[in-house]
Amino acid sequence: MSQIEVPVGIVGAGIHSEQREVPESTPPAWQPNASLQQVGKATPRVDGIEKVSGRARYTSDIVRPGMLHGKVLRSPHPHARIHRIDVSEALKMPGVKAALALPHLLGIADDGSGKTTQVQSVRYYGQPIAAVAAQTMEQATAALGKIKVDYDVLPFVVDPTEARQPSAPKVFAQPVTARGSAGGGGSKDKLNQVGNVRGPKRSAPRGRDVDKQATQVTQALLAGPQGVRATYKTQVQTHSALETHGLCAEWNRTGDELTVWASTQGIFSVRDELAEYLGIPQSKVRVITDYCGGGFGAKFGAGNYGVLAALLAKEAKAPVRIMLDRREEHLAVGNRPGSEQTVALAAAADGKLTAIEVKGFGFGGAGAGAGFGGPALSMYDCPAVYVEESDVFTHSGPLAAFRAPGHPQGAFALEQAMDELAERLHLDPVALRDKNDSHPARKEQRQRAASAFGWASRTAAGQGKRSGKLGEVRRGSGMAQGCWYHLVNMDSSAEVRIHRDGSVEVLTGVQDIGSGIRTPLAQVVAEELQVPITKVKVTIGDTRLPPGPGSGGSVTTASITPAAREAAFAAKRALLTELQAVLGLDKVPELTGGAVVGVKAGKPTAPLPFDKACARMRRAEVLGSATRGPDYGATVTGRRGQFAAQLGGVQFAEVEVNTLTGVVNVLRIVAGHDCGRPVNPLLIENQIHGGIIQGLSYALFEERRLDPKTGRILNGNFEQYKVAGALDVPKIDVILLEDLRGRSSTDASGIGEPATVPTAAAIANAVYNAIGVRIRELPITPAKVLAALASAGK
Amino acid sequence: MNSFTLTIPRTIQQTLDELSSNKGGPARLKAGGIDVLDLMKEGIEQPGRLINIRLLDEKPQALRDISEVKADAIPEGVWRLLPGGDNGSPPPRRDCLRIGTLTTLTELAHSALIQSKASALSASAAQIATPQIRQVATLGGNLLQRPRCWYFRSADYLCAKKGGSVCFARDGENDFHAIFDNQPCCAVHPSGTAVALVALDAVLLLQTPQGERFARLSSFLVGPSQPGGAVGRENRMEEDMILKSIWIPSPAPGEQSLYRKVKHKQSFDWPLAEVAISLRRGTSGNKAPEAVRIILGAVAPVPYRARTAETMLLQSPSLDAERIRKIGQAAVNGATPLSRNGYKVQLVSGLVQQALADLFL
Repeated sequence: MSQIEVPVGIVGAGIHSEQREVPESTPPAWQPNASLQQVGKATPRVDGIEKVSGRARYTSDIVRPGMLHGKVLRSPHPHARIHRIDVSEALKMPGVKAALALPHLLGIADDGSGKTTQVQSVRYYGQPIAAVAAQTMEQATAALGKIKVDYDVLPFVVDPTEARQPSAPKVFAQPVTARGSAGGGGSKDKLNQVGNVRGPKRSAPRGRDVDKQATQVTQALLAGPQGVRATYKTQVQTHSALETHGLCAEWNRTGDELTVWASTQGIFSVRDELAEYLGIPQSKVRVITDYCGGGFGAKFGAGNYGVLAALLAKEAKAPVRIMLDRREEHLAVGNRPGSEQTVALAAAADGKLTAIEVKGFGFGGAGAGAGFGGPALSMYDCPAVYVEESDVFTHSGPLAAFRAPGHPQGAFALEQAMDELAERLHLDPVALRDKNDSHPARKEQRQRAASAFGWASRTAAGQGKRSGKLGEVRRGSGMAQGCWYHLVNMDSSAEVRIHRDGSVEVLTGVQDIGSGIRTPLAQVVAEELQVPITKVKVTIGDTRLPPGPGSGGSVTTASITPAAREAAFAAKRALLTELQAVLGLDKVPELTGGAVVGVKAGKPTAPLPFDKACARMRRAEVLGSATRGPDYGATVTGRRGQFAAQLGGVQFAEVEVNTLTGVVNVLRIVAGHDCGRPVNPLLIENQIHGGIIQGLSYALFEERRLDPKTGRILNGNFEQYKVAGALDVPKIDVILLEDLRGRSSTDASGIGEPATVPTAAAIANAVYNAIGVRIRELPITPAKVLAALASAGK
Repeated sequence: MNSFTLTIPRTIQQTLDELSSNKGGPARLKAGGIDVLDLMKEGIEQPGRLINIRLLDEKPQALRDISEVKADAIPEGVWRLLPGGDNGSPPPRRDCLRIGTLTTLTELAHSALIQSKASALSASAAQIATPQIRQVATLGGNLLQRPRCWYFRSADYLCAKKGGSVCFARDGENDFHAIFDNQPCCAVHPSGTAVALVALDAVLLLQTPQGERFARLSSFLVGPSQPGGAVGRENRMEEDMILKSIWIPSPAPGEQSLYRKVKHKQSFDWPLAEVAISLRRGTSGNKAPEAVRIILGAVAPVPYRARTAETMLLQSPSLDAERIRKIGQAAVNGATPLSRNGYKVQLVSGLVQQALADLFL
């Protein structure tokens, strides 16, 4: 190990130097971005032209020779017992090459007759049951109608309030254990389960005793001179990525090696799942993802469709592609669970929080782990914090990890409660946070964003500017903040090759979920090797490359850019060592100002430009490879999920509410964010814009609607499932901190998730400020605004 | 989607022949195809034959054209149905705007003639769906499209409108459904241009094998509970009919029109409510309203005329914010909201107030 000096602090608010103990091979720390050539510069995507010109190849573009199209048969009942699945008639349909029931649904393999007898249950409308592969999509669809399934239709419940009644039909007869996916989710085992209610899971902040905190919270709430208590509800949101889930599976001729092209945010987790399910070695499954049209947490695994595609391909002896349609996306591949949370806050008269309590239910359909406690447990300096979360099961599509799982829900409740508390205490909402939140980035963000927003001129609730000929349009402002975590995935390796012509390759098995990781990889390597970014070719998205992290948890940039920089550093050292030998230098030369400078016979050599230096190599290329190490000075707590720091995020929203029609128009959002050292501000702003738009859409529009009488989805499309469009997008101003912590060789963190956490809460607080009536339930529709105004007599 | 044969006739006569041919099952006309392809993809309709009339053109009365026709050249059938012909006497002959059925919504929205002489219609066309859809969707198709009720649009539900016995929305999820005339089906009429055109006293020119037919749009559109209505249809279109053109009287001095719409989402959304108002004011003195039509959209099976509000407006000595509020409330007189759409009563009232404020304040 050796010692290096690292800059620490927020640029513009004071930087100091600290010592870190690091492995010998660690490159020296970068100074703030202003001193760098490539890193920290707003660099357009290296693959931008490929994307906008339609040449980028997504999974839905994959067409293999002889490829068949697969379609999935889904349950028409929200709850039923299946006695028999018979695919024999489907196999006789024109163009059909294979048909099979989902084996793990039946628990036994097909016996060759096309019939199975084991009894299994379906627990939601749209649950996958069987699939066919045919030469055309139309043939496959027609054949689905010929699969015979014998159902015993059972009573069901899709309304989460009804599901809590003791008499409600049970989703699970036995206690559920919920294994998390690579994208998070999952829930603690051995929780109490009564009827459809599983829990509560009881939590306190890291390192505190849960029972003691619970007692302290109860006492403080009883004693607290000032307090608020209210119940907040959030809806079910579907991921609605532009590219649907899908996968193309192709076996080799001997049927023992599988290649898949998948729309995924984790090529290695798809590989591992398929290898495990199919019982073949990981080395014989290759997963390729050139580009992915968004995932938001729901695209980590192979999915039932992936398993079906692989099995159909094996049976048909031909490649099979299954791409889900939009309706299937809304039904069966995950969602952000709904919630009902009661938040109680107590504070001293000066605003110092004395207790935070959140108790409630998460509604993840037939899936567990629908929590929301993250913000309450992590954000404020409060001596007593206690959270109880229970799952309520319903007969509907299961949840999946979704962009900061639990946090937008949690922030919506907690941050509105803080707004209510501020009003109760006659404190400014920003001042109340200043009193209770010492997180340095958020503190800085509150200050800078409030000033950019013009927060000082905000008026009291219902007192804002009015417009419209009838004075019907009212303006209001609100703010909210969020937290997320600096997480690192240690499965992050990269290889850098320097070729004799001076060109450079970066190879790593990370994939681009859509946020554009190729570009920061090119930037950090170009920075290290002092070459123009155009010299760096980045190859990603293939499990034959060195392992890369799954793109979830906002880990990608934090995990893989240090490996890439260190690989470039190693390759550079190999090059310089080679040059010492070739040029007969006294010692290893240095790369400076884009040229190699050495000492020969005691005299400095003339600077040799990088490409000319490379031309002197005796072999075709030099290599460097590196694997992400633990954060400098941080404890490794596991292979994944290494926790070193908390990320912030503070957003200010200005809205107009039409009190005659109930329509909310978000005018602008000023967003202060941090993600360690920003590698590419352009892409970071892009992520923040996306997070805010998705958060706005969550605040005002999106909601999966099920028919309570039939359990079926009513809006499984983009017409009635409402996603914000261009005209709904406000002016967005991003204030991005350069927050140096000296924790890795790039010191980068993630941004995808923090950007969406506070948006809905900030908009809700702004709506309250505009109309003087609080809406505690998402989405904030015209119906809810009008009802709130009517009930308040306004 | 089912398999179908596609024919592309060159003339109206060929189209009529195709429509009345019995070979290959019932035929469906396709213009822009926005709605019919949706219905086929959703499995709601399975026509064995599609007749593509999008490129059909007939001179001199082009099917994709907007023009102003002088009073003496108005077809008699149209003239007879123009407003002002009460008490047995024929209406006065007057200039009309003629719009071919294949005119796209973009053309309608961008037409200077429509903007200046039928602003409610151009405003309604401009706010429908998305720019891409407006580029392809035709006026005829917009008027004749089927409702967007999510039970009707789902093959999972055999609802009353599709020949079943139940309206699932009535006791189900009915947020976007009718607050007037909502028995036995509570789907709302989906056409924004219909709301504007009813306010503008539009007359339709239809071609049948027996010759041309004429109808006021207001009586051509018919709700299930109205005389001649049926739950399975929204209008009096027959299977062998072609809608050729839409006629609206050119405005006389003092006449103006306005259209306003409330959408939850401003990009690509169906209306929560719409209103179109056509108004004639006196040309001298205080320019008091002399005639008015207030037509509400997305509230009933067909565009709904708010007669009480119209009467109140005409009886108003002057219009201030308070009077406008009262007229807005009168516009929703007699509403019978369902379990989840009570908010629409308030919203429609608010929308009418905003529209009246635009006109009078």
